[in-house]
Amino acid sequence: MEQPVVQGLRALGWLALVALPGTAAAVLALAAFMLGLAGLHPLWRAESLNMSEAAEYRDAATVLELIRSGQDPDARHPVRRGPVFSKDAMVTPLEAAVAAGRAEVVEVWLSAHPNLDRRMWIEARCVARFGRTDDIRQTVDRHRPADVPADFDPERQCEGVERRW
Amino acid sequence: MRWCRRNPWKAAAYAVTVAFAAAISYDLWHIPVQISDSLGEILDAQRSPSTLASFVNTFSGVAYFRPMRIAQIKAVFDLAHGHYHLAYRGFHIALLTSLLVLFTRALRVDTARDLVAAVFALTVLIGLHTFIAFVREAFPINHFLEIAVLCLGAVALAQSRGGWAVDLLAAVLFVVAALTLESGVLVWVVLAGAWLAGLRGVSGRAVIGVTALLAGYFVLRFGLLHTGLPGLTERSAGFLFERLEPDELERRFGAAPLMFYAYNVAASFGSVLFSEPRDGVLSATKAFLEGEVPPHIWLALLTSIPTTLIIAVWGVRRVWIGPSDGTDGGDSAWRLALIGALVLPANAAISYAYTKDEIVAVAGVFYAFAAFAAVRTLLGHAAAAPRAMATTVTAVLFALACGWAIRTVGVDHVLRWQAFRVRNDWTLVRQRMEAESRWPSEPERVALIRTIEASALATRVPNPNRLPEWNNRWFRD
Repeated sequence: MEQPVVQGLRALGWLALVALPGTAAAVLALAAFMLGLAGLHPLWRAESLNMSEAAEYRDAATVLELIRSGQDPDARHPVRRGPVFSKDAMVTPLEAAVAAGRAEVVEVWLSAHPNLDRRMWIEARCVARFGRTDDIRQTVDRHRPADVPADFDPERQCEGVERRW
Repeated sequence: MRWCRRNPWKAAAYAVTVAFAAAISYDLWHIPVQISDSLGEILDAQRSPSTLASFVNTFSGVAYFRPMRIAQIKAVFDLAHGHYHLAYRGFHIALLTSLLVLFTRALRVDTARDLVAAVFALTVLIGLHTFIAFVREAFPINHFLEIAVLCLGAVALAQSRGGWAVDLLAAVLFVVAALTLESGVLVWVVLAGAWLAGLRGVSGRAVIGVTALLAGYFVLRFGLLHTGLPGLTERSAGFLFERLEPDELERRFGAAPLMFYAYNVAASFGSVLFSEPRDGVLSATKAFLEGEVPPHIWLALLTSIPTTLIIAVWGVRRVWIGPSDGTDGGDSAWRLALIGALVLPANAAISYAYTKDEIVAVAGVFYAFAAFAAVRTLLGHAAAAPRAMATTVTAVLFALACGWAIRTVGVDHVLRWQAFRVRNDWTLVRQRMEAESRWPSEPERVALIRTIEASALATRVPNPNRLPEWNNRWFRD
């Protein structure tokens, strides 16, 4: 027969074991909250991305924010090898969005582009032909300037524009 | 602080509650005001001359009667004075904190065993998928959460010492809830259920009074205002393995909608008790048939099914054999579970037209009460059982507690995705509203949209697409 004290301790140990996962979750939650108040929340830290990386990772809001802050929307930025690019590359935000197959990022890029003219639209349309889906090409077509003919044919008029990824 | 020293178990339960509340509130604070089902309501609030006008203007609704919902949106809008994120998100956080504190208060933690069961129940409450409905969206107020808070307020009144003020408050809670959402009538179920279960803080006379108010609600809604009920074609709905659009619902069930309604009620039961189906769709079954079951589905099933089994066995034993732990406070937990046994079918019945996690979320809260009562009793049995049996019970409960804790942690993941999505939605707000001919022409409306847009885009949100894929497989909502 076990002593009552031993039995009691054993019962307390079992209670502590059942409470452990929930308590651990609560302690971690509180620790994360406290770190968050100091701007160090381990899960809510927004990484600083360049515009091409933001486009690659479907972050249209950051693309828009960077364009509005005055950054050049046509500049090339480094992107790392990953799910979208098979090797490290230097690409424009538009190329990154096309490579990632994100029509909504292309839409934001086009809508927010401060100097989208005929030449730039043609460049964009030529890049868009590398898109995996039609919606990217359709998105670029919707922004076609009036001085570009409706029958613009990227297959014939995009010579020299190559896929950089 | 004296009560902390007098009852350290209760203090510890509140400490755990506050820790969860703080962490989820932090997540909520970083979700911008959303566009869908929210921006339109805020613009309407701006147009409305007063809260009373917002209240009265909803009386002509066809399928819904929710004047208090619109009035609240207007009242918070007026209080915001341009700080819309602060006002609406602040209100959301206040509601969430109230929910968690009222939940813990209802458990009446007095012993170490109560505390352990309470921690378990808190993870069930937060980890259950219906909880996500309380935090993922706001329209711009999350009225599903509000109804749950009002139901827990009704529990608190029923557990109180009573008095005329309590009776009056019970009536006020019911009126506010019933005029906010259809599921607000669950406050009546809670009050009547609590009285039947032996919680008499709200007097029998008051329960009869609230029942009269319920009758008055039906007379007003159907007799005087001729507000109908949502029909088959109100919105898309889940059925078996797919979501059906309104025209497809009409084609399949237009002639015999009862079968579809019965499915929705059954699906609501299943959703709360087994985490399957979800929003009416048998997503876990579908994943099994397709041979690709991600861990988050396993996790949901392997926590919900055993927990429901434990509750069921405990409930049947309690009914047939009676209380096994004497008069040490177990009656209080039993009464909460009894109320839950009434809320679940009532909540499922309300979901007859279409079922979704949001609607059955109140039943999810009472499911956590039942889990508390069952686990509390099981821990009592384990303490008195032979060593081998006690070890087995502890091992099972530990495994379950681990599962629920992981589901609880998943809430943060879901909310980070939500914040990312909502912030990105704002990038094309004008294009989307113009496409739907909803972009306003008045400068003050445009200024309002631009204010909220600027606030949304300025919110610092991590990009969940950068996370390793296992996050989505384990924590997806």
